[in-house]
Amino acid sequence: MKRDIIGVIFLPLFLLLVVYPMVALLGHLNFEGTVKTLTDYYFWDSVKNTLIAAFAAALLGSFLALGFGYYHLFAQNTIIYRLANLMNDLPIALPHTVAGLALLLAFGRNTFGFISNTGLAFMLISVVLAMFFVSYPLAARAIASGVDQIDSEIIAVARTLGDTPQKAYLHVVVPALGEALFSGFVLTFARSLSEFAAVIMFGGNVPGSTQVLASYVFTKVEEGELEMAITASAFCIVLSLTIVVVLSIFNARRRKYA
Amino acid sequence: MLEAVDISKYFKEQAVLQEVTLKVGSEIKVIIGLNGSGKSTLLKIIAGIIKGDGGQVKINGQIVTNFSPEKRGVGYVPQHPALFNHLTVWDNIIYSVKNGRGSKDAGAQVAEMLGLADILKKKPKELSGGFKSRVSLARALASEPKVILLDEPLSDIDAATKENLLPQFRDVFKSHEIPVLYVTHDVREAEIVGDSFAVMIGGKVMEISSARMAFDMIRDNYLNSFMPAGTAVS
Amino acid sequence: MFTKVLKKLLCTLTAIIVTGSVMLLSGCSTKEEQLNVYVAAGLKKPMEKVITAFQEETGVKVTPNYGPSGGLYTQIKEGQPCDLYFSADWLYIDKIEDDGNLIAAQKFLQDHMVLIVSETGKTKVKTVQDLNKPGVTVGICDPNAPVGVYAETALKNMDLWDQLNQTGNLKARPSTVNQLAIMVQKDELDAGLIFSSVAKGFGVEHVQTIPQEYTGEIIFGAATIKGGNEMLAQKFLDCANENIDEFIQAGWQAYQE
Repeated sequence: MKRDIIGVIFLPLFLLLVVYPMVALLGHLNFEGTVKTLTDYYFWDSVKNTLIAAFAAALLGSFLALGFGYYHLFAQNTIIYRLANLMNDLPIALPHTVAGLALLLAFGRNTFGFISNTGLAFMLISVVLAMFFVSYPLAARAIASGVDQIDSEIIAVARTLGDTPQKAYLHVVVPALGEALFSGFVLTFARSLSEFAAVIMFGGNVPGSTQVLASYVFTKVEEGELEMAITASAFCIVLSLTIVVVLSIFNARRRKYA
Repeated sequence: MLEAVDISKYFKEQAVLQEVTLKVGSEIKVIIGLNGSGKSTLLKIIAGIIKGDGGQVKINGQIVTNFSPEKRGVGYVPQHPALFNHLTVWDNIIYSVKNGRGSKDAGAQVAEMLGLADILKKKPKELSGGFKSRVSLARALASEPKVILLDEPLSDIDAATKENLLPQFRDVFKSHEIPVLYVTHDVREAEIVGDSFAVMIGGKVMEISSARMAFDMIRDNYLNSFMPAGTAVS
Repeated sequence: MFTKVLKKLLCTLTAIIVTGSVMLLSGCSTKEEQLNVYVAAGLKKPMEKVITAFQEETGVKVTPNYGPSGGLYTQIKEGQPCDLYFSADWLYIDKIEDDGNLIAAQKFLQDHMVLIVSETGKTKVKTVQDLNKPGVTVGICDPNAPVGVYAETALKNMDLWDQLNQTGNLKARPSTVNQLAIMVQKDELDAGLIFSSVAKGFGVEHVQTIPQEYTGEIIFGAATIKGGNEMLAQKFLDCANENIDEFIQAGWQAYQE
C-alpha cells in the first residue's frame, strides 16, 4: 500500500518534469533540419571540440579531485583544506559569464602574454579550462564522499604496516575509490558538455576552432534556425546518453574483475 | 617488551581510559573487558593510530609516544579484518615489504603456519570470515613487528571455527616470541590463547591470575551498578 | 509513522500548488496595468530613463525584457507576450512582419560601426585593413548578435573576411556586443568591430568609422506586436521619441529619412 503512494506521486512528476521536455524536443525533429545540421561542417567541428574538451576537463577535474580527497581524509584542520573546501562551492555560485570573465582576466595576455598573443585565452585549452573551472566542484564532492565511505581501519592498518599518509592514500584509498571516481568523472563530463557562457567568454567561440556544441545550438536558436538547433540538441542528448551508458558498462566490468 | 605507562584518554569529559599501566614481555597477555570498556582505544593509542591524552608508550625501552604509526614497528589486527580488497591474499600479506618492513620469507612462513598456502592468489571477497582473520594476522606478522596487537580478531567468527583457529593462533604467537597484546570479551577465548591476563573495567586495567577471575569481577561490577552502595553480593 | 510523514508531504505539496496558482492568477488579473517591452540589450541604459519617465507619467507598470535582438525575436515568434519590441537590427522587424505578427514599425535610431582598439592594439591597428596583419588579435561578435552580422557583411564587402579567417587573427566571437567591448577594453584583444553607441558607453577609443556603403544602414527599429496592447505600446513609443536625446547622448543618431 505504502509503495503505491510513492509510485503515484513520484512517477508522474518524474515523467512530466524530466522525461517529457526531452521527448518534446525529440518530437520536434524534422527531416530537413536534421539533414541541414548533419551536413554542416561547423556542427561536426563543434561536436569534436566539445567531446575532446569535455573529456580533458573531466580528466583534469578528477585528477585534482583525487588530490582534494587526500586533504579531506588527512588534513581537515589545515588551511589548505579549509580554503579548498570553501572554493569548492564558489565556481558554482558564480554566474557563468562572470566565471568566464574571471578566467579571461586571470589567464589572458595581460598576465600570460608570454605564451601567445592572447595569453592562455581563445584556444581549445581555454575551453578545457573553462569547462574544468565550472565542473571541478562536482568531482571534488564525489571523491570526498567516496573517501568518507572508506573504512578507517583499513587506513589504520596500512599505517602500521609502514605507510606514510601519502602512501596509504595512494596505495589503499585510491584503489578503493573506483565508484566515486567514476561518478565524479561522469558528472564533470556531463556538466562540461553543456557549459557555454564561460566557454564563450574565455574559449573564443570561433566556429571551426573553438566553438562548442552548446554554443552552436544557442547561435542557431538566436539566428532563428530552430530546426537545426533542435537537431543539434537531440544529438547532444543521444550523445550524452551513449557516453554514460558506455562508461557504465566500463564501470560494471571493472567492478566484476576487481 | 611493551610498556604502557599511565595512558589516559578522555572523550567529552568522560574518562575512556584512566592511567592505564601495563607491561607485556615475550608473552601473550589477554585483556578481558566488556564492549565499550576502552579496549580498542588502548590498542589504538599503543599502535599510534590515535593520540592519548596522557601517558607514555615504550617499545623495547624506546619511548614511541610521539611517533607516527608507521614508525613504531607495531603489528595491528583490528576487529574486522580490514583486508585490502583490491589485492590478492599474498599481496595483502607482504604489503609491508615495500615499506622496508618484514620480508617475503616471513610472509611465506606465517602463511604456511596459518594454512593459507592454497589461497594466496584469491581475493578477499572470495574468502570466508575465518580465512579473512587468518590473512589479517599473517599480514601483521609478515611485517616482523616488535609487538603485535589484536582487537577481538575473532569476534565475527562462529564458535566452531574459533575453536579451530585459537590453538593455531597461539602456536603462531609462540613461534614469534614477541609481546602479544590480545583483547577480547570472551573469557573462554582468553583462556585458550593467553599466558597472562588482565581485566578492564571502567577504563582501568588490573592484572589478574586467571581468566575466570575476570568473569567474576566484571559480573560483580555490572551488578553493583544496579544496586545501592553497601549491598553485599555473594 | 511512515504514512504520517507522507500525509504531511502531501499537505505541503498541495499547499504549494494552491499558493502558486493563486499567485499566478492574481498576476493575470492586473494585466491591463502593465506593458511588456522587449529591448535589445545595447539600448538598456537610455531605455531605463524612458521607462522611468513613462511610469511616472502614466502610472503604468513597464516590464522590460532585455536580451539579444535575435533571442527576443525568437521569444516573440514562439508567442511570448510582448507589446513593443526594440530591435538592434531592422532585419528582425522584417522577420516579424513575415511571421504576420507586426502591427506597425518605426525606424527609431541609426548607428554606425566603428573599429575599436585596445591599449596594445593602438600601436598595431589604424585601419580595417590592418586587421589582417600578422600578430593582430581580433574579435567579431557571433552572428546571433546583429553587430556580428553587420561586421561580417562589412568585412565581406571590403574583401577582408576570408583573409581574416585564413590568418587565424579572429580569436573570439562573443555572443553579445558588450562582451566584445569588455574584451577590447581590458586589452585581451587588439581590435574589434562594434557599434559606436556601445563604444561610447564603454569609453573605448575608435580609430575608424566604417562607411555605410559597406555595412548597410544600421537601423534600430521599434515594432508594435499583434496581440499586444497597441494603444499603450504606441504611447510608450511616443515617450521614447520625446526622450530621444537620451539615446543621442549615449551615442546614437536619430533616424533621418
